[in-house]
Amino acid sequence: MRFSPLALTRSVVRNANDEGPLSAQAVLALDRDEEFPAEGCAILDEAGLNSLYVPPDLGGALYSYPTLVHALAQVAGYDLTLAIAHAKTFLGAAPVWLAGERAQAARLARRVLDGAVVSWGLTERGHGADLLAGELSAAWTADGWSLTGSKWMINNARRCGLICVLARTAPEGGPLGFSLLLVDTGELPLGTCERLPKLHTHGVRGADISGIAFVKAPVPHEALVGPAGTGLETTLKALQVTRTLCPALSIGTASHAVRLAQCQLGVLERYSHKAAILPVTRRVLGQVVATLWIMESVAYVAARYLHLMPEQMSVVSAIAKALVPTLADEAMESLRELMGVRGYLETDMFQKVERDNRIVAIFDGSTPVNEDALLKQLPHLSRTGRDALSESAAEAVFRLGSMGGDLPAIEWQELRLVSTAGCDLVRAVPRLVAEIRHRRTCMAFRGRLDAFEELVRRTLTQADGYVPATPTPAEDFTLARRYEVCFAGAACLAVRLGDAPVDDLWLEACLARVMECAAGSSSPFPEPDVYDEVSMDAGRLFPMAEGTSDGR
Amino acid sequence: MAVDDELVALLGNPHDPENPVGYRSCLKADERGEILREGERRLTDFGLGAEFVPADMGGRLRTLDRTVALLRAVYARDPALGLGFGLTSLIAAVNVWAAGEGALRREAADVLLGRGRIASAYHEFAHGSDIAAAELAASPECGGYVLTGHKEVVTNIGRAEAILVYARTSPAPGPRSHSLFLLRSAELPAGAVRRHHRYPSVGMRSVQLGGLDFDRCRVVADRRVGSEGAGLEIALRSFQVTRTVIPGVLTGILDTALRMALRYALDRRLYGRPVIALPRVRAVLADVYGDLLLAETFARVAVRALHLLPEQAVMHAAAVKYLVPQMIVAGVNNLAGLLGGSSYLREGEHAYFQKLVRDVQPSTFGHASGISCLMSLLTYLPAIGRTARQNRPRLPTEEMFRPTAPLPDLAWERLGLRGGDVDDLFMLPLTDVPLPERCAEVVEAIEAERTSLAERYAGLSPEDRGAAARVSAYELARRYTIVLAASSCVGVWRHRTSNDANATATAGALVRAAHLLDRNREMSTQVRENLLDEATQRIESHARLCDPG
Repeated sequence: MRFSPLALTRSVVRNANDEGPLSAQAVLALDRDEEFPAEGCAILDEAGLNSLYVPPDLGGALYSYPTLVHALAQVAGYDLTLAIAHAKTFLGAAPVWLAGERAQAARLARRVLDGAVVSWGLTERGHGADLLAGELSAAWTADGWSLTGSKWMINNARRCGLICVLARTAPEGGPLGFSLLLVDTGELPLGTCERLPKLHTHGVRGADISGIAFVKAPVPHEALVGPAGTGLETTLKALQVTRTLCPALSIGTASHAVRLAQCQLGVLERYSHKAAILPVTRRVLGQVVATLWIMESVAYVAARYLHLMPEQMSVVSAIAKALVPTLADEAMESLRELMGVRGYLETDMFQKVERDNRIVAIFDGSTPVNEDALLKQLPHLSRTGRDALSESAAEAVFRLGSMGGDLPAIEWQELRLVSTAGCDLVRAVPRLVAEIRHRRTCMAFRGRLDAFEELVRRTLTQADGYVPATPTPAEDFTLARRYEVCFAGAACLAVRLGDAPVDDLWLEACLARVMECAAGSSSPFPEPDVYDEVSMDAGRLFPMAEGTSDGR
Repeated sequence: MAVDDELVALLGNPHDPENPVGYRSCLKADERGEILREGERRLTDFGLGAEFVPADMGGRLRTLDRTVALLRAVYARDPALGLGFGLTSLIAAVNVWAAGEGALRREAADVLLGRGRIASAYHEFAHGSDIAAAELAASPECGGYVLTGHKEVVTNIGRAEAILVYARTSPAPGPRSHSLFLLRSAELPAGAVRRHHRYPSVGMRSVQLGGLDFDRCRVVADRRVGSEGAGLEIALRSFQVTRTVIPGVLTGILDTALRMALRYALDRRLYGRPVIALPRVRAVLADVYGDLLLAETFARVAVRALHLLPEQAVMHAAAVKYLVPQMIVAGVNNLAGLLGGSSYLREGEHAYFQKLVRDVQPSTFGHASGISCLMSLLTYLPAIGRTARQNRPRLPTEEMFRPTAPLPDLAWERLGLRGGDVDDLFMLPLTDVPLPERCAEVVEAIEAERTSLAERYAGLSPEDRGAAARVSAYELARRYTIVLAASSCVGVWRHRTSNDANATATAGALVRAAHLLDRNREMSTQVRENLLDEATQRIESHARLCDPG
């Protein structure tokens, strides 16, 4: 099956016009009334977005992960609620693509292509991110499994036809005590499954964030995804894939907010000037644009990484999920101040985007959870960091940044819980820097490049002697953040060396922002004047469809 | 006895689900976007309006430290109640008091003493904080005025007994083109005034935001507050009061958020241990507690300085209104990160938290945006820099820093517009007094920063005044506000009256001030653990997180 990004774009734009179901008025009304975006979901089904949730060898169109990221970012750029409502099916199905038997995967693929809603039941009330504390149990019976317990704060739990559930299959629990079961809720006898009420949330108010409870629910043996006891391992590996998709959501909301701010500040008069040209406003807007560019680079490179070096995704996905939503949060705070009272009115799209955006850093593993995961792997990263990069690895790194060229199929089996190979992109920084220097004779930002190289060197030295401790000391998170920032800078270099529509000004702004991030939280009055030149710019790697003329 | 004890008792137990002014009831009103009637009734019974009327007019307003403490208590319960019922009327009334003599003084006092409200109609969408550009016209005609134009997003404009309107009385640019009018809602001529639909907001949802269109609305001349053309001047003088008062009120929001987050971290378990055992969580909680103490101290000292050094209030007001709201919004956001999914639910045990996330947001842009505050400061910094460079540090009276010392009445007439070339708080000696453990180095760094800032202020060029000032100038102004906050802490420490004065709090606040100046300056483990112990102990014993002033 093929998926046409152009058809999706056209459909989204068409439906966002006037009073269409994706227009600002319609989206705001759904949010106000806490209504599920059913019409929007139908439009995305129609455009075949669900074909991107299925690997090509199972009849789907997931040839390129960046294509999925871009498609979802576009949807999120109109309505995050819709994006998460629809894309949850990919999250629910990913464990089966990863660990399911061929026949099980083929069955699920047909269902997804037919428009089935698949959910993923990991979290439980009171346990949050602590998956090992999960209480929902599956007991082995003669006919299959008997499920008892509940999952809570689950996206689409009321609407799903299938749900992939993490269940305790050994009473004592532990890393081998959990299994994943793909439950077809339509097959369950009456009274064994109850949908829990929709939760009322701060943002994404229309989403079906709810729960599901089982009482001795019988599911067949074939429901098991992968061997019994591998539930946690499969979950952690599937999360590497889904966490690489989450940045799409942040890019959507951040682009949306930037568009709204540029639009408003471009027309407002303040102190006898257009607001957008007041020095502070302009600088801050430009900083946010540079932030967006970094987010895009990380998301883009991470998505290609999944194809090119899947064995390193334990590191890459943690970085992408930790850094990109955090950057989006920071950008949103800067913009909120610029937007002032207008952005605070319920009739304005900005306040919705701002509320919605907050969920991304929380779900699918919060920022601290991912940074913890990164820190645990840091010793590997520094150990391998000293070895010279092999030619093939270097070639793969250079391929991370290019737009074209066929990507190899995603090798789900190559995902590893821990990347023993480290992170080739960060290791390759000296080569990337040398290549940039080599290619450009006159560079205004030579100093920034040197500073970045030095940052990477220092960070790797610091990581060298790092010994993870449990619980993780608070200071260690600074090191995690710094490593993420090194990755981000490296991603920007790789993108600049590729064939993406970016130039030296783009790279200069990105590097300036990277160095600001490395220095800790940024000042509300950023120093780099390169931001001034990019304040009215937009995303480059995941361009948003031209919507209605008012930017909404 | 703290001044707000009676009011706090009147609001009842916040956690009691049956309490009509408890968190659950406040949340319900928020969900529905409705006024919390019982809350307003209780505040009326308390006579909150009288707190905004000077004593010589029959009210209870003598010094503003009391006003702040009372409104802070309301904000700690429900910011929307505090804004919708209290703060708005105070903001309007202050303009009338600042204008000096006149019959309207009596009228404004009577409205508030008679349990009424006054709306403060400054805001026009097109101009925001740039009030010098406000357009609503009051054209002199036949001995009176004719009002034409609109005001938008004004609290209580649709239900206040009186409305203070800021209007343009001359088309000429410049500082003498606006005047203030106090209108009686009941007397507005039908047909000449059209009410806007309500502006629904994402937070502060029980606050009634409205607007008015004036279409050749006739107003008699004696409705004018102060002389014609004095509007901007009155506004700028009253802003010195309101911008000093508001930050101290807003700290109530962070106080409540922090108490909720501490409770969450103490009660909830993750990975087999209480959440509060996670070092990262401890760091966030300690940082935010340090921020709260810093903000609280700065806000209190600023209010005392308003009474003691009114000539300098123009600087202090701008500084405190910039820094404190920034810290409060950032603090609530940081705590939201700590609560994770629990901060995102509008139901359940922690539902109140997301309301605070929404309610806190106008702190930074409401009643003067942060940028406009720094812009005001930039006007004064060159002179202050030159003075600071030449003179030796000066020691203001100890009443500035002693929370219980009596304050003189507010000298409205001494609230200057030109500011001075001196700021005693900025010049406060910092290192000649024994400091709490682990503070000496931090305070030395702050003092060095001040010295270097003074040099740079002296060297600011004329282009760094006004909205088009360079970004780097704004950063210099931001650092000024941090030095003032740190100086406030050192001053309070220096003049502490008993030996048990809080060394932990002082150290925590100062370390956070240093962090605002240099992001690499993190809190030491010792200071962090001390703060955490202090906070935990206070939470467990139901004590206040900040000692009452």
